Amino acid sequence: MRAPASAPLRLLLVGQSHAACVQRAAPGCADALAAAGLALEVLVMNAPEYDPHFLLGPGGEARWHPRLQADLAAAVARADTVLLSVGGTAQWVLGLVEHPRPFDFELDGEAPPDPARERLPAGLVRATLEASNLMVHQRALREALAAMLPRPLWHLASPPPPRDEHLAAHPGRYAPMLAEHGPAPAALRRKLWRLHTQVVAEHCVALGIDLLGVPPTAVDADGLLVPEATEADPTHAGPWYGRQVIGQIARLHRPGFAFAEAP
Amino acid sequence: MTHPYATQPEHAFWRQAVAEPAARAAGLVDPVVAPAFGIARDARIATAGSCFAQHVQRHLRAAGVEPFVTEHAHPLVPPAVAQRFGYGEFGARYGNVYTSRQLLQLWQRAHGRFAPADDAWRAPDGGWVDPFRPRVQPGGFASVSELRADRERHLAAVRTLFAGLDVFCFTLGLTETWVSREDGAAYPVCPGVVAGTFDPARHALLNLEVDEVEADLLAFVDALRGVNPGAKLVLTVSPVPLVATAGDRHVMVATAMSKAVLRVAAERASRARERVAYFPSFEIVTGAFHRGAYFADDLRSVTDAGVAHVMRLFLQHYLGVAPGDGGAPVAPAEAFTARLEGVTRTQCDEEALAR
Repeated sequence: MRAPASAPLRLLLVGQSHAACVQRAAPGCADALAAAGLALEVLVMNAPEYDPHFLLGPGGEARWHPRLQADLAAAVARADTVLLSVGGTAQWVLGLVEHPRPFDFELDGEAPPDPARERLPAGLVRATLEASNLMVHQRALREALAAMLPRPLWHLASPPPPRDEHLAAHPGRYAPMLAEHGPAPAALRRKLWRLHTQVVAEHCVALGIDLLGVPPTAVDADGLLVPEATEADPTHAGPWYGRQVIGQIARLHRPGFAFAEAP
Repeated sequence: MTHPYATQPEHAFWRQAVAEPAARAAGLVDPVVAPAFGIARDARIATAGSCFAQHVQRHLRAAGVEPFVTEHAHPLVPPAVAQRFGYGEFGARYGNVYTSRQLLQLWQRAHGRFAPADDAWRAPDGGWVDPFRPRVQPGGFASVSELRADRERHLAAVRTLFAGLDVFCFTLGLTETWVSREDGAAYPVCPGVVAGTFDPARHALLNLEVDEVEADLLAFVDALRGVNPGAKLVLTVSPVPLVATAGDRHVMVATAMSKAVLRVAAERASRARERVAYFPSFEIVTGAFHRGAYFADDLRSVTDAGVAHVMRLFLQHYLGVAPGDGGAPVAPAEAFTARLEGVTRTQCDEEALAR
């Protein structure tokens, strides 16, 4: 797969919904990447033409959408290096909307559990997250991809949650539930996101995948997504964030890489 | 000529009560002559005890008799995870209660009468373990603070359980127990096996004698009736042999002695207090009449057939209900979480659309 010295290093990002912001930012970054001898292709697996993109049978057997399988194979064949962005949403099933029985848990490095909320053992919250349908599916997908892709392989961390005001302004499909129950506190949303990131990181280590953390510029003092990184969506980041990630990806291969202009 | 045996009922004779029915079918043997009391189908029945006690809870559910449980997992937690973390296994999340001493101290701890000095053990993987519930939190608690908070919640649930139950079913499992030399705290598992560190200077083996088990049981009954005067108790002895003995005798000899002690103590306790019944699980499973069919290949585990025989007779005699199939119905996913999952999936698909 190594290209001749004159050809750009071809990077491929394969992902689900969190890869979409990178895909949207990519055209605007193409020239800067080309100047650094890089080219980036993004394949978003849960695009409508690939629906359902990956199914698990009753016995855990995996089934790819045939068109995705073909497009993925072709994209991998074109690439020199592959990065993944699988999942990043399962934690919201536990706590984007405030549960009717409010809870909290302890997580090292985060705000202490709110004494006014029911304190759950952290191990129980983690086991609940890991048992969730989305996590089970995403874990299987990550394993299937890891099995077919060469190393080195990177996995992007999903973006942290946005601030309360952003959630209020852009509730998306959560609007009815948010109207009924309100949002889970930002500190809890952040803890759940970090717990999810830890679980994914451990899975990546087990699979021999390196984790690429969240761009530091995208995180505010409270550990939440800065406004410019958001988009009109309660859980996903926007093209500004995508550009930050592209910069990170570029610096993996070109350590001094920087965009000439601010976005 | 006449003699006392001439007027004895049929169940007093081995041939009629055991050999002849067993020749037709082992399931026909019924050593429950008459229940000490009846249990209403909607009675709040709480269970505790050794491993065998878990079967009681499961079979009650399968028979449509919902056991009395006061410590539930948060509704966010799916049933399979809750079960793995010890919720719903017994009346509260105390894990296995193997001995009479452990039961009495559970009461004492819940009611502020005893606070063991041993607070938390460090697990090999770095988590924190409750010395008195060493297996309820796979992976351990994240911190001592978390452990204490959970313990406080647990003991409150235990108080609620004892105060609110109608019937308490307790399965006596062991007489051997490791205790703290400092304050006599009885550990469910020897320190060092699951977590903690064994130290012969701090930990001692106690093999409870008949008088001790009896005294523990009566103290517990009296304490329970202090907050719940109408509470009934069903005592049973686990038929499961010891997995190991810390003494110097053969494990089979140690097992026989232990079960004998428990059986006698249970008998004495049931005679010393009203509304305390002995139920013959031990006799049903260990009886020769089934020719070993009620023990699995390891000669310790009780087969489904053995459990079914025990529970059929318990349900029939005490509750007047027919047994279920032994499997608890699968609880549906919590509605709130299922709805939120659906929204999250849709939101992600829409994000993928907006390219």
